[in-house]
Amino acid sequence: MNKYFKILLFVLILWVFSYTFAYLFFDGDNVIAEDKVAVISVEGMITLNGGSSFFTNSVSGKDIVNKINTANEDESVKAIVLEINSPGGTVMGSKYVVDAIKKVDKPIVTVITESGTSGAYWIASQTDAIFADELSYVGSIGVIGSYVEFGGLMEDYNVTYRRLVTGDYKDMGTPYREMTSEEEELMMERLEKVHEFFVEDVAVGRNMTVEDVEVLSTGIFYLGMDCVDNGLIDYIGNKENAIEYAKNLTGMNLNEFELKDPEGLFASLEKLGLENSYALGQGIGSVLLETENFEIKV
Amino acid sequence: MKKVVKIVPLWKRVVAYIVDSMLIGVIIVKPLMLSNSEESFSGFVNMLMSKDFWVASCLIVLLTWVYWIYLDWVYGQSVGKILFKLRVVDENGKELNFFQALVRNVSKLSFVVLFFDVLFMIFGSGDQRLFEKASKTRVVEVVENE
Repeated sequence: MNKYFKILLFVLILWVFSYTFAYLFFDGDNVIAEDKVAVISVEGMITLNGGSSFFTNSVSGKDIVNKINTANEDESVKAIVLEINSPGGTVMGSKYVVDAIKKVDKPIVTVITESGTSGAYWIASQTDAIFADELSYVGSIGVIGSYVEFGGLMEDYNVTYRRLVTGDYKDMGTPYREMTSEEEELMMERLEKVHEFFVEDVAVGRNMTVEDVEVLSTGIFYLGMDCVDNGLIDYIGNKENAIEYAKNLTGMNLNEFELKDPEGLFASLEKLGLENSYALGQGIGSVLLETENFEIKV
Repeated sequence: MKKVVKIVPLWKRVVAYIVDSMLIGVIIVKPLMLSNSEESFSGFVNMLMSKDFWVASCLIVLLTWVYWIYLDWVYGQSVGKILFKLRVVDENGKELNFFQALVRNVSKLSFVVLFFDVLFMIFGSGDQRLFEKASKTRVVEVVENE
């Protein structure tokens, strides 16, 4: 190989290495040392591990917490904005994020775009300020443990549920038989406890009294336009307003920075396939989901 | 065709160095250079206190050093020297070994050291920097005569 070609190759290798290193470790746009606002998206039903399947499309509470921790530990991130569009999720999925937010020692502001209800609102309530659109769905403070029961249907078709358990309540919540009144009472007792916990946390987060939150915790959602008055949000506004507010809290001129999951080619293709599957099975899935997974949701 | 080795005028070495520095600026410094959105003193201090700033700075210095050492050691010429037909040789006119390439480029780690290294050449013995003397190397110009 010609000497000059080799030198050119060496120069190119140095250049590629420098750019690759900058891309991998300095976010590719050389702004890691810049002070910034990290924007973290919370979109979809929140479960602990997330994942999409034929029936569900959920966001992982663990992934959200990882992003929050990354932003909290990054010295150049001076404030965090949570962009929420979620109907809530499982109790633990939501609480996992709530606990992480409580440990954040930087200004953290929420903007609710379309929906910030139930577990998603629980998350929002722990931040320093909440923005929402006039028409956003907000609140829906309550706990749900409903499920479809088809014991009667099985009976009609002469299908028998053979009950083999070593604890009286081991199969409580199974869709294959009718729930007893005692079981229903036990279940409601637990839902009430989760509800109380949820309400108390929202009260602390929003600096409201438990009684005030109780009044709003009927499970109904409110429109953003009513939520400044009832105390569920602080301001009517959009993402830009929330970012501006976060900047003002720090008193610094910050750049906006979207904290995203790295997505490779295969992940993109997988996501595309799953989204199609999800759209296809959404109708059937929404019914089957409740019969197959008995979960308490907030 | 006969090759004649000449002592290099200082201006040629300076211009070759500027060419190399510009190239290093494009291939190493530009990709790794961190910017700061705040044009205030506190913003500057924040940047200096950032771990990434120091990682990037160390990497720039290291890669720059690799550029000089590798090209001097393997080819006896950097890109700037190729343009001016300059070549690095040892005091016997032979190719450098790795250690010689490393020592003669120590001063390229810092502009301050390089400044005094060049002052030594200007006010000292003539055509060798201090670290060139230490490494027993020199830069020569190769002219082809009929």
